[in-house]
Amino acid sequence: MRYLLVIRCLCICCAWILFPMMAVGQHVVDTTAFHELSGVEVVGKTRPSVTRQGAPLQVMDRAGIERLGVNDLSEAVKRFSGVSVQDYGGIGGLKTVSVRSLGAKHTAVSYDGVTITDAQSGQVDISRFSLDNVEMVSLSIGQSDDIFQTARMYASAGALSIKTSKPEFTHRPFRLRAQLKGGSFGLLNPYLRYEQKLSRKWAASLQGDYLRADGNYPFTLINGNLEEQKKRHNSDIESWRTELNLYGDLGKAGTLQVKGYYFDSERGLPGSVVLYNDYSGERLWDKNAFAQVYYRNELSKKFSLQGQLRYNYAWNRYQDINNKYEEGKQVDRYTQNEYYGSMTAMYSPIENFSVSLTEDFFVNTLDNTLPECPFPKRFTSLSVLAAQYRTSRLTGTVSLLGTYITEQVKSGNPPSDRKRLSPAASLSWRVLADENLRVRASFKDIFRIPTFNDMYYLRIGNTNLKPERATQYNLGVTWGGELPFVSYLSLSADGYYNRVKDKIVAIPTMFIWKMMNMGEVSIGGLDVNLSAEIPLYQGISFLLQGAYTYQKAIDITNEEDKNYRHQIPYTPKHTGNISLSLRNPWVNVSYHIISVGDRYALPQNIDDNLIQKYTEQNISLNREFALKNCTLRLQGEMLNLTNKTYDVIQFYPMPGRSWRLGISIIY
Amino acid sequence: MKFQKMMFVSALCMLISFSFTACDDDNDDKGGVPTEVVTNVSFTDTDKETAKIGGTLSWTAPSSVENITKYIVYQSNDGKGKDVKLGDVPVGTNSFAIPAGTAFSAYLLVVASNIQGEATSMAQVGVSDMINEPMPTVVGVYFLNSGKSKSNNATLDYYNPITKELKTKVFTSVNGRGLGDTANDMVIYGSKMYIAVTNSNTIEVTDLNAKSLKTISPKDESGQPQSPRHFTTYNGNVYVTLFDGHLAAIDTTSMEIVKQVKVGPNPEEVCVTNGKFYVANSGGYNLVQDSTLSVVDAATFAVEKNPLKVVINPSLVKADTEGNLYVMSLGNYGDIKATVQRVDPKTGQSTIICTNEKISMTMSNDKLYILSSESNASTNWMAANTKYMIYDAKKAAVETENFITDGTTISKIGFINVDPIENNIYMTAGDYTSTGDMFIYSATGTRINKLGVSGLNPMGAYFVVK
Repeated sequence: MRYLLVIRCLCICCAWILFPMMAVGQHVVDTTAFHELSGVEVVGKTRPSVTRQGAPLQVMDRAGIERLGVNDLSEAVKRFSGVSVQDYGGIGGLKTVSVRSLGAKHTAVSYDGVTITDAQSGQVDISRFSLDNVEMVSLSIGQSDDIFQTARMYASAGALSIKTSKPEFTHRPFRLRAQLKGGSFGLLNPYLRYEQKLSRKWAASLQGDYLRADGNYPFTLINGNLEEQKKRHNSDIESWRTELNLYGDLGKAGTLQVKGYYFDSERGLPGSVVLYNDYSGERLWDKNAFAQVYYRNELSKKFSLQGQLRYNYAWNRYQDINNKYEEGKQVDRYTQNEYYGSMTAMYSPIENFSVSLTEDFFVNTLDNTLPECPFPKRFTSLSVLAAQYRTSRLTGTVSLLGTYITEQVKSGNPPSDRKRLSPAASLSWRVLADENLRVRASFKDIFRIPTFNDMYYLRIGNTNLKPERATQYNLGVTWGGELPFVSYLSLSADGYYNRVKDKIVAIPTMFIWKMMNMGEVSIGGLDVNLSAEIPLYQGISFLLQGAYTYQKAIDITNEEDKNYRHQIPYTPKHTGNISLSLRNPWVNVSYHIISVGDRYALPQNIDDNLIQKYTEQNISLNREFALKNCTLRLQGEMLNLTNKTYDVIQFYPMPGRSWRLGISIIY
Repeated sequence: MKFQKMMFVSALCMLISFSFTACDDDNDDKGGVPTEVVTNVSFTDTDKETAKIGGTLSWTAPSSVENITKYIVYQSNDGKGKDVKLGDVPVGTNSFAIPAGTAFSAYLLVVASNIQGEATSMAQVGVSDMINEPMPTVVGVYFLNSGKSKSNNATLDYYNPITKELKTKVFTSVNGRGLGDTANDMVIYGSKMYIAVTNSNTIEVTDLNAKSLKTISPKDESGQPQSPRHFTTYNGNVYVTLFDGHLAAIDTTSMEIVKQVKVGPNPEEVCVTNGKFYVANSGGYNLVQDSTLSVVDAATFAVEKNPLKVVINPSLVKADTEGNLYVMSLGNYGDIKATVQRVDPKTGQSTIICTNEKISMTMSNDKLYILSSESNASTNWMAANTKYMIYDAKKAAVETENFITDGTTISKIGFINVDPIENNIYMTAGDYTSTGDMFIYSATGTRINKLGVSGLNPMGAYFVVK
């Protein structure tokens, strides 16, 4: 019944939207309007050109975020090709990004140019970032063309960058944005941002948001012939986030940005669904604060400098109430500190050629309440020498990253120092002078360092671990241009091959696990991206975005293993998604469909480990009203339209059909 | 069962013989009825029909048979009255064939006789009626696969040792639902089986075809799951350790937990001998693991004040027929390795049988089978260089360090079980990544079979004896 009702509502909505559109569609189409309306050209100022990159780069900017009605970071990332978002379900559920089957620990996440790190787990939970005030989200795979960036961005197989928007003052010396979002399962998320112009050179912004959700969504559990309607529980979340920014444009003295950030959350960890046992007593408290200073100066046409300093504090408290502990519960606390500095100098002696030298130095510490904690302190130095040659038809980039890591421990043997050189190269060539068809090729040899958990976690850690190595090759073609009736079309196809060696895996011993360098994985695949804008009439245009990924990622560790040459866990062979968006003067509509193929939860590709393929559909409606002094924006979404029951991670069910509404006012 | 009955009967016979030897009053009247009484009377019923007996009655002639001409065999209901005369045999014959189909009586009497008449003293033997009890054999073997934690993939497989056919996932196929998450142990007792599924917090009570009769979900007062771990059986009840630190008794008829007693932290295996339970308290979730066995009196179900001290982190505990305990402690995963020790529960004294990085063991017919492996960085933390040991509990000595005689080896070895009838050896292998294997060896140490089981991490083989 409910399903029917939704369909009916949708039909009415569609009719309401389509009717006036069809009416105007009968007028004679004015071809000149096509070019005037191209949204992509407008936003093209801020976003880098995707087609001329030597290595795959995918971008979603503010215009795209608003138009497609994307609400959180994981939803934006899911639209990229070559990535998989591991989603444990729900608003508070862990979400990590893995690029081309390499695993989440090979993906760097940066926030306004500074890499977010977690030396303990090695992976970043992207559910913590909201998309409010985000100017651009981009994902680069392999060697990036940007040689004026921190060394850390070179030191990963893939990099997800989040860039926030700077204050803009058009009418008044201040700007206020207030927003309220609400949705199913007790979601409430108010947000407030205030921007103030302080002087000709200085501006500041302050923002904060609060989020709560009960997260007790229903799901269907299928157990043999039984089908049970159940609810998730202990999956509530509450979080606060505050950010203060200071922007300085000192003219010849450069630009300066100071940021302070604080995040505080408490959440239940519902755990996986266990047959016949609903108990769950785990909770997690997080506090994360950082302060960073970013300075940039283009001293001359030939010479630029940038530098960053950052201090990061991360604290979490894990509690498990369970009678298996003699005291009835276990409480662990972890504190991490990071001190980080980075300096980049770029020199362009001639017009088409630049070299850059980057040095990052950082210190990471971990302190926890577990017994036998060795209180590790890790000193890392990353140095990069990069060079780039760039003409309108050719871009070639080479870089060499030197890593030196030394570690101190208060007990036990420290691991030996690690030194490594990691080369990377990329080339993009415009084949014909008058056609934007490019061929690109790139190579990168990179590694991930064992995390503190890999090395020191009570009993399972192994200080003898070697880094996990990844070699990436990419070969692709891109094309961008216009077609009749299509104002902008961008198309890219990349074939790739990756090889992972010394993969760090947990191996069970009799009753405990041990971290080992044990695996070798061979990964081949294809990423295809398409983006097209079709103007229909004045103020009405149609946007199509699609991405498809094919991945064959097989375990080639040991011929005698039962999983030899089997697809590695949580890696679908086929993934694809399409976004359709219709912009018009009345209500912008966007529809998104994502389809993920069969995957296996465990290394062996047998039916028992199969996680069924799924297709999820979302629809989003939004409209902006220009009122006297302010802009009002309304947005409504229906997620998982067909109420599909599916898991991304086995036995972590995803929510069924749900809704979200948002209202925001910019003054 | 059968063996116990025979023991009981022979003991009874001995007792009777003694008593009659003692009661043999001296009557020198050679001319009267015989005074001698036969000894060592024994009878084993071979008629499988209920209330019918058949078989050979035998005895030992008295030292002097001069005054005896024949022996007369009677049936008796009270052991005294000569209720039914079955027949007689001449002196010199010391056995009597009772035809199959003879009606049951509680006793058989053998009376010496001569022309003067029958002796007043007589020898008797109690009769136990064999009811459909053929020679016990292992008719089936269940393999329990723990699966991987949080994967809800525990499975139960059934192996026919005669046809060598393996039926996989029988619990699911019989019950139409999964067994749950991390099955840890099971026991077959009487006409029922009990399966402990730790993460699912269930004890599945099933019939011998794995059809679930009842699912017990033990919870504490606050509603938290108690997580069943290991079983033992005693006096018609099944006992289970619960990971929150309890030993619980399950009534086999009501299939409910009827009582619980607090033992040490995170108990693992439990065994029973001489009317006492010995519970291995691993304390696996403590900062420093436990190193005691709780002692629970079976009659009062109360914990004795002084636990037995053993090497840190005890996990497995077995008893031999003389009441000695064999305890496998996991050690502290550091400087103290896994250890098998023999403990005398009366004195608390223990002797170490072996230590190594990874050990599992089982007890069958007073033989302790030990798999002792290395497991360290150089073996990739997998069990390697395994010693396949048998320790003879009666002789208190290692019998062999390699019971495999055909030169084969097993890598990634896990657990071991031995069937109680033919002493065939079942050993598991697995790595938590892929489904495991079961290796079957004969009592003489030659490989009979290797089977791929349906689940990850097989926990062992459990025998249906009929």
